[in-house]
Amino acid sequence: MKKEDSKIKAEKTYIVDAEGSLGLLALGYKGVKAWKDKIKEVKNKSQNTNANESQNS
Amino acid sequence: MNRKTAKKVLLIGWDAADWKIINPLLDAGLMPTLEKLINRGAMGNIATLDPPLSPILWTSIGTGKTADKHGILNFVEPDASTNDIKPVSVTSRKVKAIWNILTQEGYKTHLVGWWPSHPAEPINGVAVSNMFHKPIGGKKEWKMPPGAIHPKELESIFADCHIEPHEITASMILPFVPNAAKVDQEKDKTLGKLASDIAGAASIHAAATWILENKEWDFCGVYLDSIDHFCHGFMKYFPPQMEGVPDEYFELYKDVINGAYRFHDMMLERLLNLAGDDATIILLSDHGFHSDHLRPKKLPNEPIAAALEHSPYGILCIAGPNIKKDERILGATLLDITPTILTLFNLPIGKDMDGKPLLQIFENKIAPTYIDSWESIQGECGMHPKDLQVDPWAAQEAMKQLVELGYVEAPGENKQVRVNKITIEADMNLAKVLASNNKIPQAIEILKRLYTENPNEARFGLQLALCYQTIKNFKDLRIIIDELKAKKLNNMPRIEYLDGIVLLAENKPKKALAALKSAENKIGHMYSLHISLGHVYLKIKKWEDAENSFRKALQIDINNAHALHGLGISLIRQEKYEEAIDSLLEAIGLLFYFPEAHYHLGEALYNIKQYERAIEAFNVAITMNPGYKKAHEWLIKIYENHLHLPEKSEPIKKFIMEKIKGTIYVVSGLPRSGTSMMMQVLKNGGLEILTDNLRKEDDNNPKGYLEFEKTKKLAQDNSWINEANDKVIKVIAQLLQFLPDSFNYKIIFMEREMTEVLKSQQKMLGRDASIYPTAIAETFSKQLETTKNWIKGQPNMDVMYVNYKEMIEQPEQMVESINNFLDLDLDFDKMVKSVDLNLYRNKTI
Repeated sequence: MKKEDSKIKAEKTYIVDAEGSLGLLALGYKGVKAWKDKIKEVKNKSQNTNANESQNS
Repeated sequence: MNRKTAKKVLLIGWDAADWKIINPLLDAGLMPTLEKLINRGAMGNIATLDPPLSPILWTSIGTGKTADKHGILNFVEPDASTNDIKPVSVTSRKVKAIWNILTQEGYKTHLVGWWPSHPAEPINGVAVSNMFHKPIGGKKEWKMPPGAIHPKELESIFADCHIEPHEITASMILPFVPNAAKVDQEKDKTLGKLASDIAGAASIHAAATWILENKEWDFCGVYLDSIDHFCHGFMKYFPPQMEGVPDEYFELYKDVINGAYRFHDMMLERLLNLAGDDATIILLSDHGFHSDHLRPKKLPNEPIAAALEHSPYGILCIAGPNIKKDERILGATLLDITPTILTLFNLPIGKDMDGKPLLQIFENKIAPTYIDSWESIQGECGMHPKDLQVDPWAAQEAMKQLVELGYVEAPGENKQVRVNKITIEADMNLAKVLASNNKIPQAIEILKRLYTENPNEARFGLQLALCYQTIKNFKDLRIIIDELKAKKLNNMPRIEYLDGIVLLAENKPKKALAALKSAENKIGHMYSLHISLGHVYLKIKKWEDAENSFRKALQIDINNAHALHGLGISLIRQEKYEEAIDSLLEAIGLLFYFPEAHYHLGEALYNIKQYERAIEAFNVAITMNPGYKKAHEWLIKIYENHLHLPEKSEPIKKFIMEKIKGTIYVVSGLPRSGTSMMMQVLKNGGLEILTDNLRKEDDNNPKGYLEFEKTKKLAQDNSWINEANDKVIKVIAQLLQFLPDSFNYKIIFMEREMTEVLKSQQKMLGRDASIYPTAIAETFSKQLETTKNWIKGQPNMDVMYVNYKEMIEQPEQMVESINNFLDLDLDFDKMVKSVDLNLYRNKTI
């Protein structure tokens, strides 16, 4: 099996991270929403960390 | 199941999906969802329409009507408010679509992404228009386009579904382009295009899944343009590597197409899970996409040239309750989808629809019902209010008039040029639609105008020529071909090809062969050229050459039903019946409504003594064309000579007698114009003549007159005409008008110099042949002219004019033409030998 084949097959596990995946897109609304929420969450976390860091400094 | 056959219907459109790409993926187990769907339902090809342009086609799918009725004619349309052009909108659709009919009938109806569906129609459910998923590109903030969602309050939900290309991540790209990291994105913007295609598909899919999860539904239509987009962008990189594609790009992008199909299979899995097992699923594409040696190397610099990448058959797969399993769907066209869905909902089909329900797919028989039209059935159907529905082309005309009257400022030159260009294209598309629906006179009217206004664009002239070819107006076809040849525009080989077609129609098969062979050297990639060549070879009985030509056509397009049919005929003539049967069955599989293919299948089956199957094949041909006389005659032959069931042949004979016009062959012209010689030629060729031999041979006609006394009284009494059925009879020009309409006539009209005719007549009457009777000459000339004009208007008369002098001087060439015209199996050599040069006695020097 080629590399890209294993990638597509592996998507069924629906690991939700900010990177997203074709599997999440194929899951439809639920997958896209989860992925976009994750991006927001990561963004917020990073903003909070930056804010905390700047407060601490 | 209650009042309808289907509990609910999910209609999924995959623009440009093609079995040629899908089949290897299925074989490799790489599209498991589609595989399951196929296994639990019916599948087959679906024939596209002309022109194969998606907004036109998807509107025909959604309405069951051709574009001359539904009004969507192009990708873009004039915008009367800006004097510019805009993407085609749903308000230009003049008729109800299936989702409007279902809305009117109270069903929960949803639609996502259909092309065109903007602004979203107020149907009884959710409508997400085809502007919703369009990316704005760059990193600008995307906003929901106004009018993209119905009902408006759901806009925020669907805003969450929209994905912009810049949001697509490396993880999503890598399955398509495993070596994406090697792409120099400064120089090569291909990954951006790929991201755009993925984002568009995912946006539509997300919207559809939200509806299926959150809304009650009876019908949901989901349209994805993504496979078409992937194909237009990446098919050139699909293996095998095309000439001119650099290795580097081929290696990078060769997996994109397969990746796109597999991504769609993943999305399909989700849709089917949400739809549930009790839903009826219809998956189809509007046309295919060339993926092999048929991929055009270069697209011509013409509008809508991209459509040349499309192939004529799309995919169709239907599964669900009461749908046959593992069934092959035959003869489906895009127009059949709406009538089929109406049947699934137990609703009547509009008689003004152009398609038919695919009844063959149902396990338990269903009898469809009909009404005149859904357009006249009042009710809230979820179309836009009438004041929003506009004919943009008419609006443009109105705007033009306002400009001319000085009420509105003229648009800028560029705008006007744009509007003019798309108006021409819409007219061309309308002409193609009309031509493919047998509305040839209307098509010709448009094309004549386009050709006159744009005399240097060969495509309009060629399209006009094709119309003339269809209606067998070879006179005008000859004029236009000669004109195009004289202009020496581009497309010369295609003109040469059409020249060959006209020459064949002009009963000059050898010249036709030369023209077609010459065109073959330049446009050998055109399968229709090889099919025409094959038919010429069939005409001149060169069976092996015919076989080779049809095989050449099939090398170019393995799915061409007409090439398979021609191949079948050439194999029958070589007595290779089993091979012929395979070829003809394949042709029928591709194009079921093909009476000639069923007929020849019957002939092949007869020859291997499969009489029952032959009867079945002839009967299908007759069902499609009840006047197919030869098919009836085969049935009689089988019943009488082989099955010994004369009681079955009797009703067929009666049917032929009562319902089918017979053919009478007529030799006509002025007395002494060579009619007796022509009768002699045909008699020696093997055609049965109707004569009573009352008028005996004499010095003027040493080989006999071959006349039938009763023809002299044709004006008073034609009751004897049945005696002439399938025979040849001599009727002088002045009496042709008294032949009854109850027969078809093939007339060989002899022409000879008037002076020679009169000289011969004078001599025969014992008068002084040196005196030229001027008054009689004038009268005869006028009568001939009137008769010839009258024949032109007779639908049951087919005429060939034969010059007496040419017949005497070039008998071989003329006999070849006559045989071609009569389309009978006459003895060429005997016919040629019966032309006696010594009989040419009253020459004009």
